[in-house]
Amino acid sequence: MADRFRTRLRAEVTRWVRDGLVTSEQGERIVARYPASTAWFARPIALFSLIGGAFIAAAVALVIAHNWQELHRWVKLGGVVALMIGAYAGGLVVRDRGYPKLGDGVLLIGGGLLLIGIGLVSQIYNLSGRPADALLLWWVLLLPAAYALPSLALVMLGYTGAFAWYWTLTFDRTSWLGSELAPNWILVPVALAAAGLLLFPLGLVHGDGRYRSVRRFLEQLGLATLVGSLYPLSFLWRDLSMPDTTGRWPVALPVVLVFAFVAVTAASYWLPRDTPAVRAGLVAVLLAVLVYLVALTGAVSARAPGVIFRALGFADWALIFAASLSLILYGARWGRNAWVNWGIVFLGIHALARYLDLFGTMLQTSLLFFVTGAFVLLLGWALEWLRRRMTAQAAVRRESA
Amino acid sequence: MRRRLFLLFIALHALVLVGWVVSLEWAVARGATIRVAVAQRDPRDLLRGDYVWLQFAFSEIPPSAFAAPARPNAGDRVWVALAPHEGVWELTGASLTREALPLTPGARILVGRVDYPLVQVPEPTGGRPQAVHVVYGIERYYVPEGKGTPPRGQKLEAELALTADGRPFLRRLFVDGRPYP
Repeated sequence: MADRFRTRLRAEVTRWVRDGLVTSEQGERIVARYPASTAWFARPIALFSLIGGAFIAAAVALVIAHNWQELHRWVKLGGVVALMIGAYAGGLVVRDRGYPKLGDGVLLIGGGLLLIGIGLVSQIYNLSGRPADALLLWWVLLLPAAYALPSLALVMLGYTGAFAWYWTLTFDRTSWLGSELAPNWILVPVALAAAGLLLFPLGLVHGDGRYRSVRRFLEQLGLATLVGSLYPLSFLWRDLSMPDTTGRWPVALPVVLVFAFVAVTAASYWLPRDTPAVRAGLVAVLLAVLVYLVALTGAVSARAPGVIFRALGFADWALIFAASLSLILYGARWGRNAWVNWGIVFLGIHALARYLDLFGTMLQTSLLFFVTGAFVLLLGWALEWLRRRMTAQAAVRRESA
Repeated sequence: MRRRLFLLFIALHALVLVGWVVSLEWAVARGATIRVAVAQRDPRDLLRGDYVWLQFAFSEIPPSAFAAPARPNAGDRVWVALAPHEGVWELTGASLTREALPLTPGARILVGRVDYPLVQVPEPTGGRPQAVHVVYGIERYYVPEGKGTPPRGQKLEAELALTADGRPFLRRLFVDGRPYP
């Protein structure tokens, strides 16, 4: 990014000199003010460190998985604990010597070895209960250590563990959450979407300072989970056969939804600085998704008639569209390119899903696409008109001042 | 300060792993050892390697075995009573509450969770009676690489350590009376 800026600056300065705005000497001084950045080199080092760390952790995992019964269990456990402590210590030393990103990669091996150690214990004692419990132990131990240092790579690994824990819990029929979701598949995407609503504000809380990369990671994980979970629900309009629920009202899922509500309302405080109305707009979209999830949970629990589910299926279409569009608009306004990219990807997937969904009735699909296309074109025109008008007004204000 | 805190957490990581193993050793050592009949099912876990997937005779409990008419839900706890019969321990009763479980002298408790509330179990006679599928957290026996499929058609038994509160630990697997692998 920095190098792109330097290239553009050099080109601009040449034009300024040609137009007589600055002398060539001034131009050279301006260019010299921004030396070539090392960012291009720094980025592969960070990436290679992470990938290298992951490979080494995977290699140790495979050695453990090979399951050497000739070795005594205490020897195996001692070996893993020694390796884990060695990796953490090595990471600290490498960081201290001025290679923070490489150090993070080595720390990542330590974090991975903690999970491998947990896996080793369950292998030795043939514990095959809930995989989610092992993941819970991992991230609960890892995250405090990651924040204490802090190591951004470990923080992200910890949150990956937390997400994997929740995911596993969702699909485990014997868990406190999975047992409620198992009788009706509709509740699974509801639970996952609620997790997305929790992760997105959690990302915002990390701000633009030291934890910026964690903020971006959690925001994107949250958005992908949220909108990704809404896609399966967009097929509800098709009069899908509903399995009989157990007649029990869910308890755990509403609790998760309440947490999501608290997170979304708190998110309004952490959003980028803007007018209250603009900030409220994004919160309103997230709350609309939450209300939809609550309605769906209620409809499943109350064994609502098919017409309700059909209506909720169509409401899902509108929500995916509104959420994607909001991401593009807010991303552009607040300079969050990742939001814009995700918004475009979500719209593309939505269009593809609807095409497949409505395949067979080509005229209807054509009409739907025509209306959507015309709407998007009109919206683009209106936004451009608004942008020009605001730019002109700002220019008039500047001149009069 | 932050560095010290980090080192403290790392020490905690090691302590938790060691402490966990100590507690498991303690539970296994104090548990009563019983042998139960099993049927082999299958193979590989990415983190823990090859395993033999075990299905116990008491994994599928007929509704008639429950002490009181029960309509269990997935995730519900199940208390199972096991008693010795011709060298292996077999199911004598089940209940959704500990208090309602009838225990004969010498019987022991095993605790599991409902996986599927009602499944159809195929029988050699062609019948498909219904049963409650229960998991106990001992369905996988981890073995060295390449040993996940013991010879089929032979008698398979598992040695369990059972704690007083019914928590099972899978200790050894026997094929025709010999430890496997």
